[in-house]
Amino acid sequence: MAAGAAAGHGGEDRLNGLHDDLLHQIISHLPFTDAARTSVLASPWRHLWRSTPLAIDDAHLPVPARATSAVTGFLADHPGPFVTVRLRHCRLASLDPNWPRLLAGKGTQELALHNKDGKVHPYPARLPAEILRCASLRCLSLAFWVFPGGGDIILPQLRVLELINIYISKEDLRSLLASSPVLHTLTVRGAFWNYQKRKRFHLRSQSLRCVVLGLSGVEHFEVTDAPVLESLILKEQPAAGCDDGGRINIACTPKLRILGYLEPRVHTLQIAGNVIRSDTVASPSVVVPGLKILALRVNFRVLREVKMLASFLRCFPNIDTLHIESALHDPSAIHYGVTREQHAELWQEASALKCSISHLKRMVFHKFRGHPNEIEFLKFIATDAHELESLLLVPLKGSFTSAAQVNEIIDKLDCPQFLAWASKVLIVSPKMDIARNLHKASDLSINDPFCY
Amino acid sequence: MAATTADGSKVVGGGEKSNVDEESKMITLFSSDGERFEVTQEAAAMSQTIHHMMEDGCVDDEGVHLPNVGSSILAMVIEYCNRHVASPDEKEDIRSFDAGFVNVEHHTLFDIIRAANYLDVKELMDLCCQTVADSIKSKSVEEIRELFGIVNDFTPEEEAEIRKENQWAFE
Repeated sequence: MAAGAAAGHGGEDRLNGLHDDLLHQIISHLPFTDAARTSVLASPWRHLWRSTPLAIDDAHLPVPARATSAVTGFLADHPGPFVTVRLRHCRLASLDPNWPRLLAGKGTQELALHNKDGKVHPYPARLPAEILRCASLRCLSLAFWVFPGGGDIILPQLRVLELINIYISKEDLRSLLASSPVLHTLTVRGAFWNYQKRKRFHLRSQSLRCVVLGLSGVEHFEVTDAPVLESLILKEQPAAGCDDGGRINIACTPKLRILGYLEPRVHTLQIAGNVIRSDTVASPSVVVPGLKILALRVNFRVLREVKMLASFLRCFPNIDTLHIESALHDPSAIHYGVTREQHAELWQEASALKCSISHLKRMVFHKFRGHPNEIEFLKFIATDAHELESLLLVPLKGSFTSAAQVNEIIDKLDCPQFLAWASKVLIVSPKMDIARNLHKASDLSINDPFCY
Repeated sequence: MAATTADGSKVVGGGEKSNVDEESKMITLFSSDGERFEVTQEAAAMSQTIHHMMEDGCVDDEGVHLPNVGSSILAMVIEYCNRHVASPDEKEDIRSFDAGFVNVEHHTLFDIIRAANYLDVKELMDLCCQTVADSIKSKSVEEIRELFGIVNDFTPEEEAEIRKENQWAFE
């Protein structure tokens, strides 16, 4: 088969009879460096790689080349389109300064720019403004940048946005959201500064359906006027000594279905202007009837927290799935300690107050230790959750050596409801207690992001 | 599982599905060398080409003739489709099936690619192209030439020029 006889256009069979189209498909599965190497195989291959849409991931570069202009060379050489571009390891600061312009025009749909240099210096570099005008972008992930304020932002196709350790002002965030009319998922993580002293994070969007926040140092989260927001997930666990993880203010979010992890120890929840306190009575202005899945982290030794738990349950009467994580960690809270009798009393009261969990179908109890106060709570669930179909107990690692131990504790309780329940309670091995997985949280297709 | 019926045509079954099941209507496919294959409509629909033909009502009682696909390759494609419609949720099993499936000679793989392209079975295309790409990834330029039967028609000067042009790729 004389390769020389093959003409340059794509209509002919060549080389084992594989058509150009098929070669393109094979090349498109190659890392971009291997794809470029095919140029030297033979003359018909010389330009094939250039007309193949490629994915660029700098994880594929041999390590020393990450520091060089390998990426610029590629960006200059290949006319695009680049469906996916991930630059998470290169020293972007040492690339040819033209790189943003070279990238912006190439029809990229999925872009990740993690500025590795940003981790080293006190202030990261400014994100090149061209990136925000890349109209073909559908998914964008940015890490360690200063947001370039004031310019045009054109992101009409952007659906998924991830901001990790980004310096951005309140106005710029608002402007960014306003310029992304179809944005449905937003993740904001890491140290977050805006240029105001009172650290406030305000979200307002007509299109957002899922928001995942992992922010430290923010005192006030506000999510208002988000008519299609379904899921609000707080990932960051406030530091152990921290007493104030902030106020969370939710208003005008009629479709909110999923909320968590709320931590009564540090979070203050405000619904449409009304702060939820431990003695809050359920009323139309504080009730969120649409909420279906709730996740709470509670220290069962602290009376105040347990009362807040009851209060939350009153405000969310229609939840069908409840995740409780037992946080018995703070030994200093012992002086707020509540006796078992007080606990039992509290839940009896809660029952009387029609702390309604009558729609609860599924409960997952994470980091179960078998503490008497945890058991009191479970008894309450047993008596009041008439529609409960399943209860998963995920023991804290190291607490129990076998499911039989847990069963023993439950048997000793002498609670007739539990015996009837034996078939509904499932003890799950601790290794299934997955650390909150960021990918799952922002995946809209998963029904319950707190579950595995 | 393949059983031979009385008239000698091969019946390639669809996994656990019972033939009595109303929904697993069968469709007949003919390879280029005239062999006859009975497949469930569901499995056949994994081929967008056949799926469109079924939708457009272009499939008569006789069946579908596939002049571009030989019998041994068609049998393999059918095996793939049957396996993938049988238990699409068992990811582990499917992964190991796929790994075994592509563990064939390269020229067979190329034949499957051609057939999957003609029949428009996207998952199979992706699987096979990724397999070929994976085998290219770890090879030197000479080894790739051998794999594809490519004759190097560059002069040494031309080759050096290209390597220099894309220097960043050859480091």
